[in-house]
Amino acid sequence: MTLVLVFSGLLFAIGTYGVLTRRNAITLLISVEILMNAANLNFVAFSRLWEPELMTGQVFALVGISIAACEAAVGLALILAIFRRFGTTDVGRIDFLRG
Amino acid sequence: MLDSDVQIALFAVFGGIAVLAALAAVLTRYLMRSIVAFGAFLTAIAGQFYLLAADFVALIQIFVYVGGVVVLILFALMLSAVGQKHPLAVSEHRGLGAVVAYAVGGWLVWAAFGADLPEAGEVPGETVAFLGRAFLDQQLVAFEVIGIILLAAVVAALVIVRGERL
Amino acid sequence: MSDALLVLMPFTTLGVAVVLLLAAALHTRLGPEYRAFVDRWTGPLSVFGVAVPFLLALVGVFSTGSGPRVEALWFSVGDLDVFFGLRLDGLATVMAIVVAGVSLLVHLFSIGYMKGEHGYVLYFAELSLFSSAMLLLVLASNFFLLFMAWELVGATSYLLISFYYYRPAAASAGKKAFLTTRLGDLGFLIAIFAIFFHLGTLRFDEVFEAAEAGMLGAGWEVAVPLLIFAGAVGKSAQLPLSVWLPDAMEGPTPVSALIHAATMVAAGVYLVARTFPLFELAPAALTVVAWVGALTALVAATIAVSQRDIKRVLAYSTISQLGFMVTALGAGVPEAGMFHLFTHAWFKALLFLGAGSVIHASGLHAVSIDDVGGLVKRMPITAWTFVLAGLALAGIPPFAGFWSKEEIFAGLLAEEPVLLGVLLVASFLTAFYIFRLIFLVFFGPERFAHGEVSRFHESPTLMGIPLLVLGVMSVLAGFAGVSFLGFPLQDLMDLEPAAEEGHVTLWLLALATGLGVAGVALAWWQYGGDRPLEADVALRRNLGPLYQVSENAYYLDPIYDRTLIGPFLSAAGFLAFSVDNGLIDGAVNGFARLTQGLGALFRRAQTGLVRDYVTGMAVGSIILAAVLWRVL
Repeated sequence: MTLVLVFSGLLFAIGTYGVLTRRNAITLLISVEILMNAANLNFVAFSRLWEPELMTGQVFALVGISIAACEAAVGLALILAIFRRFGTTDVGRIDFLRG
Repeated sequence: MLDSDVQIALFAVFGGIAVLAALAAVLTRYLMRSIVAFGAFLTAIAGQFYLLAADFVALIQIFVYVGGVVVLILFALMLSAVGQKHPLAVSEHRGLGAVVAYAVGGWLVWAAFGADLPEAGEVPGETVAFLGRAFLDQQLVAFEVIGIILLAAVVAALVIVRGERL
Repeated sequence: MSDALLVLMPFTTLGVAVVLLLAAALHTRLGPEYRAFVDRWTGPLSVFGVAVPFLLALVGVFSTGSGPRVEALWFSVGDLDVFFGLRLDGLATVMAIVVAGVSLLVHLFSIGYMKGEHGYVLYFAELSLFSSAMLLLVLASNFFLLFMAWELVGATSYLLISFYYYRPAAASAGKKAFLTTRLGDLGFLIAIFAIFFHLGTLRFDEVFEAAEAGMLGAGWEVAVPLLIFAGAVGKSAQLPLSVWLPDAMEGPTPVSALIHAATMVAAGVYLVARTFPLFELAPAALTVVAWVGALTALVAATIAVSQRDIKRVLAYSTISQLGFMVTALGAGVPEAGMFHLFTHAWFKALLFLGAGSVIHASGLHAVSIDDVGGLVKRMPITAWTFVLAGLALAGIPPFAGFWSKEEIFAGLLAEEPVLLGVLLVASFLTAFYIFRLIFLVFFGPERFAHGEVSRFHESPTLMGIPLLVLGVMSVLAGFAGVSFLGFPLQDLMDLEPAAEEGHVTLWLLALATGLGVAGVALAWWQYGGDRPLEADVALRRNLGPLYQVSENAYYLDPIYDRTLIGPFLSAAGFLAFSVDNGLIDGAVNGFARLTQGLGALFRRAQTGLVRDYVTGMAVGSIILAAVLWRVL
């Protein structure tokens, strides 16, 4: 069990690093998906620890996957819109919210 | 949890693949490679799901992620048409990112070793049938909410992509 | 009369008022033919609205026992159960006959008087609204409903005084009337609070019972009647709150006749009579009431002798006569006071309607004795009914006012000789000022200061009928309460006198009659000649400062301006310009500047880059997680 948690922790750290450092919007999205997968891994693992007969964790993982898909769809649509508008997907150059 | 040594070993192998693929996806400066690595990562995670007695979730992981999201990202890549030829710029915040990532990872791993966990229980044999009933029974609200979110996402994606000419 | 019919009394009128209000609101949106239809039926509908309660009140005379009553739980808050209760006992019957009867005649008169005026439908809507509120006030069987109606009456009075709202004088007169009476209402409201606090109920019967059992406590036993009387002082324009009534003459004249002569101003008297059991418990309060009434009667009468505007003479006369009634109440003979209210309503309404008839014929907004004279040949009905009312007011037998004044005098005779003297002087002055007015306006040489006197014609029949009816009432109303008919009116009201019943002695009859005749004779001697106006000027010269004081109404308005309104305005100005502009606005602006400064400072944190936001979020999450880890 600890093994699962260690792996998910490592993956989460990798995702965090990607989110923090990458400047390309698509890579950012991939990093976010890695984060979510790390979380899903934990849900599935914990599904067997607490109330395994209800499989709440698995249900939650499925919900998470669905939401991730939604997020990917909307995110990619956003990326396309941004690309059309600014001609780039480099979030380091998109700063029109600067105060 | 993982019932036999073979399963533990398999899980570790999948985990290693996942970590390496994730690292590759995050670190490479070529978008295409990043996406391929991401696909590999997702598949490895699906393997781990299967080993954790979540065969249906693993299946969905393959269907939705590998078959859907990755393809979607590929389309986005092609439509935005950047990054294949020349490497992407990497942020100047690498130091800070590394520190934060180490902190998060270290803390999570430390917590994993320190956690006081209960014994693993038995999962119903036919998870698909069980999940189907669960989604229409105890988890009905979650099911409905997913439906609404999906609908909203579809509408939102359409609106965003088509702009004002709806 | 069945109980259910009782509800019809205020609500028929109210229903008519609502319909007319809607019609008035839609009036400008209607096509010409519909507008003509609305205009044609407004008068008859509103007359119907007050005819129904009038007939029901007449039926109520013959009801037995304590009269019909209706009561339903309206709402309850905590311990307070508020009932919607109506009751038509004897006192209410008398008052309802006066209110509905005068209202009916005034409605009839108004159809002619207001014809073609701007806001014709609205006028009738407001008049009906007032009548329904007044009926509600009369019929209410608990303090809550009474107070609500009391305020409704005040509000509709405000609307009607300010009916010519485009005239600044009318607009400010309405405000003055409303605010001045509010001052008294504040006392009334406090009295109601005290009653509920100490007795736990607002129903008249229960309140009186509990108060008689001594549950109010020693202090409140005197304070509550005095506070109630404060409300009555405001509404009935007694000193020192009398200043609003003369200004209220800015309203249409039929309104003055209805509200400021017969009904609303009498509501104060009615209130005291209605709550008389509370006053009986406090002789000190009764003494205050009596003296306020007597002083008002005398002061207002001395003012009335020098006023030049017809309606202002009548206004001060009204204040003075209300003083008579209040004195009677204070002297412990409420029946005499209510009797005088009953008779006074008819002849004073007649005086006002007669003045309205003159004003209508003159085409002016207000008419003073300088403007007109010698109208008796041109307006015979108006003039002779006016004389009838004048005789009634002067207390000449056998007209209505004589009998009721005589009752008051008789009630004072035994215990209050000083008050009796004051009222006798006021009575003499009354006879003088009203016949001064009559001789100046209707007799002597014909004159009209603003054009040809030939423009004066008798008013149309519809306006003449109410004058004639009121003329008959001015003669006959007094017989409702005379001793040789067995006091039918007093029997109906069935009030308990606090003082010993006085007996009408022959010498008092002779004295009062003599004073009345003397007043009339003096007026004739002064103004009966060919040059009445010159006589007035001569009188003014001879009396000098005394006349000045009277003509300026004892300088009450300027005194109030200096002592109350002026300081209040400067305090308000100080608060507005110094405190509000300086302190409060300064603080608000200071906060705005502080916010702007902080905003400029924190603006730099907003780089607009997603990466920076995510970094912040991640660092924040770690810190939060670490903190939670420590805490948990």
